[in-house]
Amino acid sequence: MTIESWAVAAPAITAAFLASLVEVVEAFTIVLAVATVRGWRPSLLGAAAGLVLLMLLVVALGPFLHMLPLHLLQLMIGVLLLLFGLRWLRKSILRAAGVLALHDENVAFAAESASLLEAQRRSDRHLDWIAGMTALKAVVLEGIEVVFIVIAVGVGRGLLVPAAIGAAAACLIVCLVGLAVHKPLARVPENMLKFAVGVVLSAFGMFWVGEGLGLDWPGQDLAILVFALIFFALGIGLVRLTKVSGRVAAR
Amino acid sequence: MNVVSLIVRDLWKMFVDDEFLAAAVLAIIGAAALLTEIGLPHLFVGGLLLVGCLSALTVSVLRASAVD
Repeated sequence: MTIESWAVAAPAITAAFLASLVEVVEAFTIVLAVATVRGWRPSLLGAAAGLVLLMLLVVALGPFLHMLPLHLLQLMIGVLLLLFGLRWLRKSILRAAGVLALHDENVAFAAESASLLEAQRRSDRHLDWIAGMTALKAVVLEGIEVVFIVIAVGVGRGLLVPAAIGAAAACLIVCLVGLAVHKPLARVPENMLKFAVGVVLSAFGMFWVGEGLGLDWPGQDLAILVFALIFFALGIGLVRLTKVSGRVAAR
Repeated sequence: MNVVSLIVRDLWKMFVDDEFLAAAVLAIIGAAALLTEIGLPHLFVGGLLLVGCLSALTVSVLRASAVD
């Protein structure tokens, strides 16, 4: 591979891996909470049904992508990536600056467990169904984001398989570590990962929007790295600025 | 039905958290498309796209921190 192709492939695979890590950790927390309260059977059945639903979604939408003209596909993917990436970057900046509370897997686990225990206390007759649906929803909702990221970073340069391998590796690692420690993976630096993924996805989004509009970026694919550096620098700057303005306001 | 509505809501939330940021980014992309059609230099339009998105993110973050 040339330096130019690595400039796209490496961030694409890394983004798919890191973003999947964040999403799978969140889904795993809920699946684990369901398993802790109601047992592994409804939890795994719900998670498996969620995975089947996601696969059906990919099979249904996959051929549709190849029917679109290339420039339109690049523009659509670019716009969605830019919206998605900037949203993650904004949220991680606000969390790092202390404006928003950090996401805590232990809190998420406790909330989900409490909700299921409340249903149990009401002696709901459909508890296993509720538990299974909870696991299904978690897998589908977090999984849709993984599917989107894999498609978005992979489709433009024929990197769907490497991006999917990156995402699958993240799933495997989270499941293996999660099952081994048997508790929420609260020590994963979720906000730092979100910041990094937000930077990379925003850079990809900027690049693909330009390509979709027919712009010639200087340096072609290498422009992605430049965009990533600019978004990274702005992100760090905004964290510092927001922290400082918060301290000034607190005085 | 509950799952479907949840998925639709989550899909929306995947891309739109701060409506200002989403609207600003879409407006900047629209403006860039228009300027490309007019035939302005690619470097100028690309620069405008980049600076516009960076500015939108900055304003969105500062607005959120000011509200907080």
